[in-house]
Amino acid sequence: MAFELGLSITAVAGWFALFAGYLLATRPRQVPPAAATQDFGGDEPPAVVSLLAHGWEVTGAAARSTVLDLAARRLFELRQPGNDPRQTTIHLRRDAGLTPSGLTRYERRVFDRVSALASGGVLPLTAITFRDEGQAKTWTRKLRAEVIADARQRGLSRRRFDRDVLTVLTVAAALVALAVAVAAAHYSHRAHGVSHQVSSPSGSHSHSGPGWLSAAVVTFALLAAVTHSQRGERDTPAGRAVAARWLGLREFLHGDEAFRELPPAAVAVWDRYLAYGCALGETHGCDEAIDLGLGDRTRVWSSFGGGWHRVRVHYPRFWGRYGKKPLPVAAWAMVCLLAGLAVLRYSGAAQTRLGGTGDGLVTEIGLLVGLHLVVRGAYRLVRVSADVTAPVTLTGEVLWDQSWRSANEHTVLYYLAVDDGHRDRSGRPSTTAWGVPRELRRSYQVGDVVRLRAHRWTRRVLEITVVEPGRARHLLDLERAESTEGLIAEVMGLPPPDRRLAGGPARLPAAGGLLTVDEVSRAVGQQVTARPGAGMARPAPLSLQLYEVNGRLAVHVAVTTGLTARLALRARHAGTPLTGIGDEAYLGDHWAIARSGETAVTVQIDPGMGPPPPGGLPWLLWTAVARLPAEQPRPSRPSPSGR
Amino acid sequence: MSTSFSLLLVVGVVVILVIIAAVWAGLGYNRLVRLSAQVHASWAQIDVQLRRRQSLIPNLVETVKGYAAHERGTLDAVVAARANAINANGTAQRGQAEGDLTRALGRLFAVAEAYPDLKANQNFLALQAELGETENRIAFARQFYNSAVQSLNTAVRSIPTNIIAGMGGFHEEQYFEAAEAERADVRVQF
Repeated sequence: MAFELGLSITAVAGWFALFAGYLLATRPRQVPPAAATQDFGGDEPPAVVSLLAHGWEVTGAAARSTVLDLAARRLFELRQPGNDPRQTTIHLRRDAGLTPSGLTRYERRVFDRVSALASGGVLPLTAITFRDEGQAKTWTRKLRAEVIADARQRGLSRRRFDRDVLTVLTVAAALVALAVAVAAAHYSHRAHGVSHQVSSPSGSHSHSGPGWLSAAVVTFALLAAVTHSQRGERDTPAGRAVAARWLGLREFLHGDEAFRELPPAAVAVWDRYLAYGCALGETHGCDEAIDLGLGDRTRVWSSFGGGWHRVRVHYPRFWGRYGKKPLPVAAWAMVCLLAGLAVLRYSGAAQTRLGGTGDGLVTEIGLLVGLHLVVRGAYRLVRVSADVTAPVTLTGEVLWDQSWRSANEHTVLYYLAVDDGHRDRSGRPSTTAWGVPRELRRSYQVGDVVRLRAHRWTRRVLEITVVEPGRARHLLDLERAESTEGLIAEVMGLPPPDRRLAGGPARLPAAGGLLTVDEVSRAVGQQVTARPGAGMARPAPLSLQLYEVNGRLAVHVAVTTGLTARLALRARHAGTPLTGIGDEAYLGDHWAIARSGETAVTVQIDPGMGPPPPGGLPWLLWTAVARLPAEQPRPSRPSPSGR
Repeated sequence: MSTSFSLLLVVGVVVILVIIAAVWAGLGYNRLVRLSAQVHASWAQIDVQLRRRQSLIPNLVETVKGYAAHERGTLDAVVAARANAINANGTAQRGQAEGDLTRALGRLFAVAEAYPDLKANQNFLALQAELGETENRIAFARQFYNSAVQSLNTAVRSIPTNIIAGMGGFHEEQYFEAAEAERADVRVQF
């Protein structure tokens, strides 16, 4: 046992030592700043400068400095009406046009966000925050990839682990896996040998099983995953030279106390200095005022009804009735009422039984409790009756959308904050979030103007219709599982890194050629579209993404090969085996996978769409596998569906 | 026992107060040093840009002379203004002299408008562009300088930093004023 453990641990530790050595060797080195100067260090955009100034890491300064840079370049104007920089408003220039030229991809991303959110050409600076955590993360990831891509194209940055390092680590991982396999096989052989001698003295051979193979595969997969995980960027000689010049400007700005406290609107006077100061981390005033992260869900900006205003949103947490159907609420109210009547009826008897006269303390408490229960039950019955007989209908802008109550790992109720113009007693705009059942949730997006019918007391939404799609709908970013390196490659117009590592383009069919939109719509029981609108991300060639009419990702079809395909299959072995589709196929609740030769096809539908029609996914999978290149074996066609 | 303890307590409190005062004075002094250094650094940036502008003028005058030799009055005014700017001492005097030079250059470029050949001359165009770029840099350098002066002057005048400033020999600095012609150029667009 000691030998096997020693061998495995030594091999794995050796690999990690090698990995740590590479991490140490490839870390971005500290750049000594050039002499302090007020001159710019070059023509790099502020976002790239922020990458260089923050140790080759993309921070929030990239987006903030880009906002200021666009203002400095007069694509929009920042105005501060009062003393508080957070009151700053963004005013789009009417003569700038909807599509200003000469912007980088990340500048365009920031500009599009600002211009899409603006109402009447105006937008509060603090309203550019996101109202959806997933959107915020996706937007930030893409911006990060675009900034890195620009820096790489300028020769200022490079991937921390280049191809040689990745190859060495992968080969080393294979050797470690081999060592682990030898250790596992040795242990298995010894253990079975001993047990065999004990239980079977006749000398027949025991079967050790493929345990050593599993150990090797798992070890290799883990180490390979660590190897290929994103490790950030590192410096280049040109990048260090440019960074040193920009750090010279930072040294100069650092000594200016007043500059650090300048508000965003000061860009009108300080021009691009403020943008570069922000990129270099020398503008605390701007950093506090500009936020492109997730906003505050309790105070949300709304432009419903014309001007911008901030709406205070309440999210009930402890309401027993919140979002519930009338019947359970009425049932509980009835139980409450009957229990109260019972307490009233029997509290006197209980007092008598305890030896009292019937007008003692127990009777009084019973009377109070009984009355409370009766009144509460009756009140709830009246309210729920009023809810059922007179549901409210209102129109407003969706401010926030968030899951609230879950059961069996599925969200069954969502908060929906809608600004319908309601004001609280002090006259400030306010609202209490409505409870949206899961089946209604996918019909709207944040920013849409919706008409909803709901029970006022329980806040349960019965029906919701989009009256006017939100201005920023076309900016919705699809959450993609693609690695940052994959996004960078896409921005730079390069093939995805896994294909490059494989030594050139694989002979795989494009996922889009395997299935049509109609076929997918038929299989999932809903109409889906290939492109929800302009500005959406282009799907990778080996994957096909289809969307619901409202723009949400609905179906993802992926074609993989080699190790990726084997790992994908291995992860889904727990599914129900499907016969007659490829060499092997499995079905889950919202996915199906099939292997044909070395190629695997995966069809995945978004769990939020609900269960697909029976037989829909197997039929879709069969159709896709049947269209694989001719050398793939052809299965016999299964029943198209249970339909 | 009681008297010696009280004495010890008083001495301890005094020592602590002295230490706090010393630390505070040290921090205040260092801040003043930093602000003063920033003023000098910012002035150095202005100085670089002003000298850069002055160095461009002889070439400009020679170029213009080749096309408009009889505009001697305007050319002489530029040369004289340049000489005054080079010899000026102190922020106020230098600001005045640089303002004069800016105005003289403005007149020179106005004169050049009347000479199409001069306006088409590549050397003249390059010098004009470079002077424009330098003026732009001077404007930002002046902003940085005045911002640094404002921070220093505020610190020197504020209580209690003014005590340290008085003891340390720090004094208020003069702002580098924009030339009247430059201030008149401000336009507000609605």
